[in-house]
Amino acid sequence: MGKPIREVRMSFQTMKVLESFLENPSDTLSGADVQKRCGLASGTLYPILLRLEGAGWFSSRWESVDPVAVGRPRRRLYRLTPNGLARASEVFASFARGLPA
Amino acid sequence: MTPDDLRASSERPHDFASALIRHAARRAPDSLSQRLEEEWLSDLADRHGQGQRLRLALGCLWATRVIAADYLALERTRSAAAITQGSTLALGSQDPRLFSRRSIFLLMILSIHALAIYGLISGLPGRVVRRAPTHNIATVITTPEEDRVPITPPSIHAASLGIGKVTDIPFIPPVDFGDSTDPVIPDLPPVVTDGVDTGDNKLASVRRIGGPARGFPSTDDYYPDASRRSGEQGISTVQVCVDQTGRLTAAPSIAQSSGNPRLDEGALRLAHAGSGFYRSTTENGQPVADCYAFRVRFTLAR
Repeated sequence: MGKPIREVRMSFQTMKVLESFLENPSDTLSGADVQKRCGLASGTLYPILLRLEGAGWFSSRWESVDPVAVGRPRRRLYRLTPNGLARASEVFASFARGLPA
Repeated sequence: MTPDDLRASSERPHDFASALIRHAARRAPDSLSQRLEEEWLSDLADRHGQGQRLRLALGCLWATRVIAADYLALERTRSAAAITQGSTLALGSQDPRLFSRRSIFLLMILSIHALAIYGLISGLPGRVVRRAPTHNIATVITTPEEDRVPITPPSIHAASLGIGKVTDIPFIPPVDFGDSTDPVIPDLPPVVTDGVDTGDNKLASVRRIGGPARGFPSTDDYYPDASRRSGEQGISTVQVCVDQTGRLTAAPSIAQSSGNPRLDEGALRLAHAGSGFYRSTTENGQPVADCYAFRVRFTLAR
């Protein structure tokens, strides 16, 4: 993604996406994986992923597979950055009720 | 990965959902178009139900617009120099007020629902229904003999014909139309005779007063709405002049008011609309032009 979008509006949907990653912060998740965890519609999920990536909360990379060999396109995998992990933890700390169990 | 590769690796290359996703990705900013197409197609490969695939594709269409709007908003906050140095975005067709319009639209829907719910809770529809009578009965009734408006003498008179003097004869009951189903019609003006045998075996002219006939409009259709809502009832006596064919020869007039201008107006409109459906007055069985009155009763059912 180009120039980062610096501000992230912390909506309920954004928090659900972050919560999906905070289950195991070292996980790398594709959009489909995140959707399975948080249940958001694709029209909501992908813009949030791009915003968080643009803000530096997430990093992303292509899956290291040969599309022809696996018979499908490569997945785009997202992961929380250290900065994103710290910021997400702050957010959930300020919303104690929203903290993952 | 090229688009051809993507098509080759897609499970259903001609799938409608895949086509939608490619279309959506092409509408995204140029710098993201390729990436989003591959990313979304890979996620599409994880969906197996046709409904799920279509839902994902439609969501991607929406996501494209949101992403483009995000980019446009970001660009607006930057300086013009930064815009020229940054990646060129194909945002020309995107609407920066997307969210505003959507929000306004949603607010309008919510407002309409809120009003409807408030109306139901407050019982407003019930009050309206109670105010408006659900049924009404309106009838055309005959004019009693004593109330009958003086009738313009017809062109044919017994005296002028030299067949004897005119005398009254007993009242003849209203004509029964048999199969008429119009609730207005059964109460028609009676047939009245103005002449009869004089006793010296010279027959006087026999005159039958006309009135509304079969096919005459229903008074129900001419009950003024305002009167119906206000519960106004009354009887208007209307004077009409009718030719031999049952058509009006002059505008109807109120011979005796109901006391309510609205009801009188309704009666006049009814009388006017009934032109062609009047039974002509007859003399010796021959229809003649005549003027007579009949009463229109507007009553509401309880």
